[in-house]
Order: sequence, then structure tokens, then C-alpha cells
Amino acid sequence: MSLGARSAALILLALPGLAAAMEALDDRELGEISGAGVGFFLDHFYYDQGSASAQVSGIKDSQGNGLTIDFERAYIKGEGSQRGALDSEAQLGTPLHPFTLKVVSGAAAPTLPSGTQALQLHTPTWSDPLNDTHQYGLWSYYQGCLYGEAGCSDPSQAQTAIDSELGGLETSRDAILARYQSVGFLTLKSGIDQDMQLVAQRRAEVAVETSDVQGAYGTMETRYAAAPATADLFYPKPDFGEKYGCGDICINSAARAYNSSVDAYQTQLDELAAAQKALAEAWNVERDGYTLNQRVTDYDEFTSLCGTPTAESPTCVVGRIQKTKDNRTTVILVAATLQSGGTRVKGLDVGVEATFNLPSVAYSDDGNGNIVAGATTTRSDFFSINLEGFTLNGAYLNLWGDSSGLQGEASLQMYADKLVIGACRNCTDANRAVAKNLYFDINLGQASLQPLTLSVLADGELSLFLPSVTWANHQAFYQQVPKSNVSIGNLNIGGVDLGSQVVRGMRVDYLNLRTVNLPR
Amino acid sequence: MRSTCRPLPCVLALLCGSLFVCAAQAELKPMADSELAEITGQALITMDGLTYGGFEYTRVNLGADIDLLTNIDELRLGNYSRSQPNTASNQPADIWIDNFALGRVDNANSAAASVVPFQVRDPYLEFAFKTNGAGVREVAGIRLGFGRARGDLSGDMHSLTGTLQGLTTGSASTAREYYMQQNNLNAFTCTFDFNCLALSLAGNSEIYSEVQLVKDGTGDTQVNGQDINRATHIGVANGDSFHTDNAALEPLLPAIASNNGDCTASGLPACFSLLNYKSIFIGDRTQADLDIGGAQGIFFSLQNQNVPWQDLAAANNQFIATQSGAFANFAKTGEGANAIYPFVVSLYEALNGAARVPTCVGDLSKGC
Repeated sequence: MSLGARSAALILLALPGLAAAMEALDDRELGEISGAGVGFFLDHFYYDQGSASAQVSGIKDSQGNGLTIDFERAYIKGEGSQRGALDSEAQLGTPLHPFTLKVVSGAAAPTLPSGTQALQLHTPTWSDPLNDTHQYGLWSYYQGCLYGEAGCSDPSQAQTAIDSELGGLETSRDAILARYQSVGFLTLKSGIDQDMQLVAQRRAEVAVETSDVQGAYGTMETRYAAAPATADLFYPKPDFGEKYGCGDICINSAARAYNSSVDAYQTQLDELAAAQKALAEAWNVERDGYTLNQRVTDYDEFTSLCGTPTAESPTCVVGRIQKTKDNRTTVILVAATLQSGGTRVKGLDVGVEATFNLPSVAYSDDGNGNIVAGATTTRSDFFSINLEGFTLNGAYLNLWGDSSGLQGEASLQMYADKLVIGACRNCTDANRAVAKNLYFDINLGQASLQPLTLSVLADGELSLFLPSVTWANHQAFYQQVPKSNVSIGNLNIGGVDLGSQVVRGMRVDYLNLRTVNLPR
Repeated sequence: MRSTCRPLPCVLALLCGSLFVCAAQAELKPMADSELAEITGQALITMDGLTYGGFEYTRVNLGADIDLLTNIDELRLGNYSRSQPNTASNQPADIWIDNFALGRVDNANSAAASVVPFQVRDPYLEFAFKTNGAGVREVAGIRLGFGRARGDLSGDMHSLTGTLQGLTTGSASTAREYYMQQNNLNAFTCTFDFNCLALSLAGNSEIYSEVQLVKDGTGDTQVNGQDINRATHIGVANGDSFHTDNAALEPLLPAIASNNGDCTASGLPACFSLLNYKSIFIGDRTQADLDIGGAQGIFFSLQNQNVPWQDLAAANNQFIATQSGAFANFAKTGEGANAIYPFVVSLYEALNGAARVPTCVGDLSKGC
């Protein structure tokens, strides 16, 4: 194992006064130090596992067979290390942009409830468009290709992509606006509310009938189990759901009761069908030439695009269209900064290579159309993960405690030029999975409205809990609890491009996660 | 016996122990030897290896029960140019769902609003590898799946690639009334229309059909022997028909209720826009127990070739064929009377579309 010769770790005290490069503090300045926290950065360092080895054992497969993971190589180096081949020096933070660990409250953590203090770990904060993870990550998704690589020299490619997306959204909006121009959106909503009363009533009827059908089915099952193999000497037990041939005049009471339950079940099915029909008719009630189903669809779509209408001819100042316009501004800003020669602060290259020795079951076709499990042998699989140009700017974790246990809120802001997953030692990226422009904007919890509770349950399992949005807080909740985004500009697996991948605007409105020992 | 400590619980326990703000829940006591001896080798994470058809697989299983309500503005996977004969639409992505949501809110626009979460059990991440002709072991695909899942899935489904198998069921009289409505028939004129008359004869018999992703206009599930991708419609497949358990009626149904390549069956539409299915229920709506009512075998995958992924819902070691690109699997499990479908819709919903269940508290149905 080797550590860069010029590695240095500096701890900065008195964060509130940190505004320039490091200078000695005089006694007066030292006297003003509140002891509120520390800032730190790592400069000119690298880590390489070298020839050292490490093994993880104790993990098992679903059958309880053990497996081992031998870590053959791990490194943390500066960007441009050619996946660890070069000893490029890395930098984690700078004096002006350090990692910080401190106790925060008030304006430093505005989401915290009044009077609450939290322990905060914050990664370096940058506000310029190229080093702020959110701005650069957003642009990178629309850009698709890795800027600077061959064929990817025009940063405004992202603008073309977002303009196309915005155009599609505006077309949808305009179509809905035109459809209800003569009606007015407040009138449209009023009509929907009136017609939905009938839907609610008939939904309840369907629920009742569904329950009745389930009850009748259960009765039929019970009576079928109790019914004889032969009724009245001549009538064999029918298939489930069919009736004995003696019908309503079976002498055998169990057979007669079962036959009766089949009739009752059929009656309940008919009533359910009638209730479903009535519900469908309620959805098909027309006003202004459109069914309720269509009107609700259009109104919901418009609200999603532009926000809740507040006038007969509504504006479009919030919602997805405005959000996309805001994003477009960001995309243009990043592109312009790149076009004017701006560069990013270099990130890290991080990699791990390991060999998995795991039991493997061989499945094969037996020649008769069946797939059968064969022998279990031990496979020895090489596996590598490399991150290039990895940054964590703008991420934070706030932790505090109360009677509920350990609580927190977290924002992971991660960007990497490339994530490369490989299964071969001597090969190229055409044999690996390569995700370019990888952006994780993961937000879990909001201190006031949805604190994340971490706990260890009585049985030793972990619990992760996010309370649900409520009627009382829903407006503030939807405005303030941040959404999450995950995007990949382009994914290539084994030389095949699968394009961009995105999960955008995800908010967890409720979460209750409990770990469970495997096998169950 | 040596005591074991699973890494994640240990980290969290240490974190709790070290933070002065962490409230003490109980007094710490040393464990006796007898207690230590009860510690088993169970784990939060297990890994499985298997091989099939020249592929090697490594699956990482996470033991967890997860209840959640989530709203997602946009889910788009496999967003790349594609123009093969089996590409069923000009949509830009293999999977594209706007306003995607898992879970629902009952009494959404009132003080009685309550969350009905989507349930997920034992998610897993799996890699597929294959050694190519030059002897190089390549990454071939990756999938995210769930041991079981149950609850409401909502969204504006613009495009889907993969398997979405549902069952539509209802009374033949339902179909008859819909047919009469669509064709401006009344009880008298119905008798002069072959389809309407046939449906009249079927009376209240229950009819049902499997519905799956199809090509609009034809109901094809394959083109040139290849499964379609980027489907925008779901319905009765070309050549398939409605069925009934009524022994007398069953032989008649293929004649009067088959999709013969024009996306109609018995004059009724047999292919429906996915956008009309704004909410579907994954799993068995009537069985709250996730062990019984949870749908198995659900996964999303990305692969560069036709990777066969193990069907974890199948007791008989089946593998599910996928195609290059993004793939979603919401397949039925079992066959015949024992088949369990990921979702079941009434014939009314199939014919009229399934309305979206509220997924937001307040007056927003979606987009919160």
C-alpha cells in the first residue's frame, strides 16, 4: 500500500471567519473562535493499494454457502490517472472550499426546527456553474456525450436537447388550452368537481360489491371443501365453480348448500359487473363535449405542466414547463461558460478491482423443453468498478437526535464523468459497461417536514423511516421537501449504446424500510 | 462460537453510540455466552451465482421490506435512436413514463387523506456476463428486481418495452352494451347485427382475455419473429380471443371475439392506448398479505443483447427472454387456472380506460 509522498491534511478552525487563503491568527482573532466546527481538505495525495491484499468473507449465497471477495486493487487518485495507472495527485477540497464538520442551527441549516442543533458534514461548496454539481449535472444529462471527447466539442448540444423537450411540453399545454378556451379552466374544474361526486359514490359501490364477491367466493370455497364426492348417488362432485347436476333439489344438504353458494357467487359477480358499469358511465358523463375521464386527464395534465389554474384563462408560471425553462437557463449558462473556456476543478479517480469466488448453479435445457438446475461449482469472477472525474460538491448530512432516536436529512450531490464496470482484466471499454455523465442528486428527508429517522430495531434490524405527507402540511411539503434526480448521459454496454437514462423529479412522500435477515 | 456483526447495523449502532445527541433507548448490557451462541449466520445481503445459455449471472439480494409512496416526474430508460422492424412506435425511448407513482392516497382531497403505500420485498441487483468469441468476458446486462411487489402503479405510459401481462374480465353483457353504445344500436337493431346478437346470446356469462403489449392497429406481439419494442398499446393479441368458462359458449367465442389483426374482437376494440391505463394494481388486490398477494418476478433491466434473465416467480426454473435495450417485466406467474397476473382490470376498465388513483394529498391528482 502506498500513500502519496506529499500528502497533507489540513484542518481549518473557525469556519465562520474563513474567507481567504490560510493565514496565522492573532490572539484577538483566536479569541473570537466559537469552536463551532472544523474545516478540512486533503491536498496532493493519492492512495494505491499496491501489492497489499484484502479479503472479505462471511457473505453467503441463498443456500448458505460461503463466498469470498479478494480485493486485488484499490486506488484514489487525481483525475487523469488513467484508472490508477498514473500517480496523479488528488485534492479533496481547498482552503476556500473545504469539507466542514460543525454544529449548525438557524440560518446555517434553515430546514431545522427552531431550537434544534445538528451535527453537519458538508462537502465543498461551489456556486459557479461548472463546479456546482446540480448545474453541471443537469447540463451533462442533456449533453449526453462526455464533453471534450472526440465528437463532443459543442456544449450547446444540451440546449438543443432541452429546447426539444420544452417544445413538446408547450405543444401539449397549447392543445389543452385550445380545447377548453371557450369553457374556461375554473368552469372546467367546477364541472369536474360536480361530476366526481357521482364517481366517488359509485366507486364506493364497486368497493362494496368487490367485497361481496370476495365473501361469496370464500363461502363457495368452504362449501366446496365440505361437499361430498358424490351427491344423491348419481351426481359426481363437479369442478370448483360448477354445480352438482341435482341443482336446487339435491337431497344431500352439503351439495345443495354448495350449489346455492355458486348461485350466490354468480349473483354477486353480476352485481359487481353492474356496479362497474355504473362507475364507467359516471366517468363517461359529458360536459362541453368531453367525457369526465377526458376532462380530468386534461386538467391534471395542465396542472402538472403549468400549476393549478387560478383563472379561466390561466397562466403557466409554475409546473413542469417553468421548471424546464429554469433548467434551460442553467443549461445555457453552463454551455456558455464552457464555450468561453471555463474548466472544472479536477475531481477524483476512484477504482476497485476484486475477484469474487462464489458458488454458481448451472442451469441448462434438458432437451424436453425443461430447464433444470445442475451442479453447483465455484466460479471465480473478476469484477472492477472505476469512477473518473468524481466530485461530491454541495452534498451535506445533518444529524440530530430526539425522543424518536437518530434523525437526519441528507443531500448527495455526486457527479462523475464515467462509471466503468468491467468483468475482464485485459480488455477495452467496448467489453465493459460505461456510463458517461453520471449525476446523482439524491435528497432524503427534510428536517422540519420529513425528518429521516434511522434506528436499530429490537431484533437488531435497521429501520429507515420518512413520515408521510399529511393533509395539514401538504402544501408546504410539496414546496419544500426536495426532489431527487438520477441521470446518465449515455450508457454503453459491451459496445452497444443504450442512450440516456433518467429518473427525474422523484420525491419519496413516505418510506418505511426495515431490513430482514436472508434467507427468510 | 464466534460472534458476528453485520456491517451496516454495526456502523449505525456505533454512530448512535458516538453521537451525544442520540437518545439512549435502553441500558447496554454485555451479552452472555448463551446469547452469543444464538447468533446465526443470517445476513442482510446474500449473493447468488448461476449460469445459463452461455451467460454468467451474479445477483446481490437485499433483505428488506419497504413500504413507500413516491411520485416521479419522469422515468425514461433506453433513450436512443431505434428503427427496427419490430419497433412498434416512433417514441424516443424504450420505457417512458411521466408522472410515475407507486402507492396511492385515499380521501386525497380531505382531512382524512391517508397514504396506502406500495409494498416491495427483497430488492436485488443482478449482473449478466458473457464470454465473447474472442474469449473476453463482457458485461451483457444489469437488472433491478423485486422479490415481491404489491400496490398501485400509476403513470402516463408513453412507451413500454418488455412484458406487461394482465387479465381483463367481465360479463358478456358488458361487452354487448358497450358495443351497442359504440355502434348506436338499441335492443331491437342489435338483433340484426351478428356481433351484437352473439354477445346477446352469451348473456351474463363471464368472459376474459389476457392482454399484453401489442402493436397498434394489428395487435401483433412480434414482427418477423422478434418481440416488439416501444409499445404504445396493450390488448388482445392478434389471433387471440376472449374466453369463457361457459362450456357451451367457449367454442363460439373465437369466432365472435378474436382479434384477427385489426385490433378489434367482436367489433369491440381489442387494443387500448397505454395512456388510458393511468393506474394499474400490481399483485392481488384482494390479498393484503404480501407473501400471498405480492406479484413476483417484477424487474427492470438494461442489456446489450437478448439476455435471458432467471424468472424468480417460476418454480420450474424458467428464464425470461429480453431484447437489447431497456426492458420492464410485469409478467404473469403460473399457467391456466393457477395463473396470477400482475394486474387485473374489469372489462369496463379495459374498454374505457383505468382512471388514475390519487397519488398526491390535496387537489393534485399527479405532478406533486
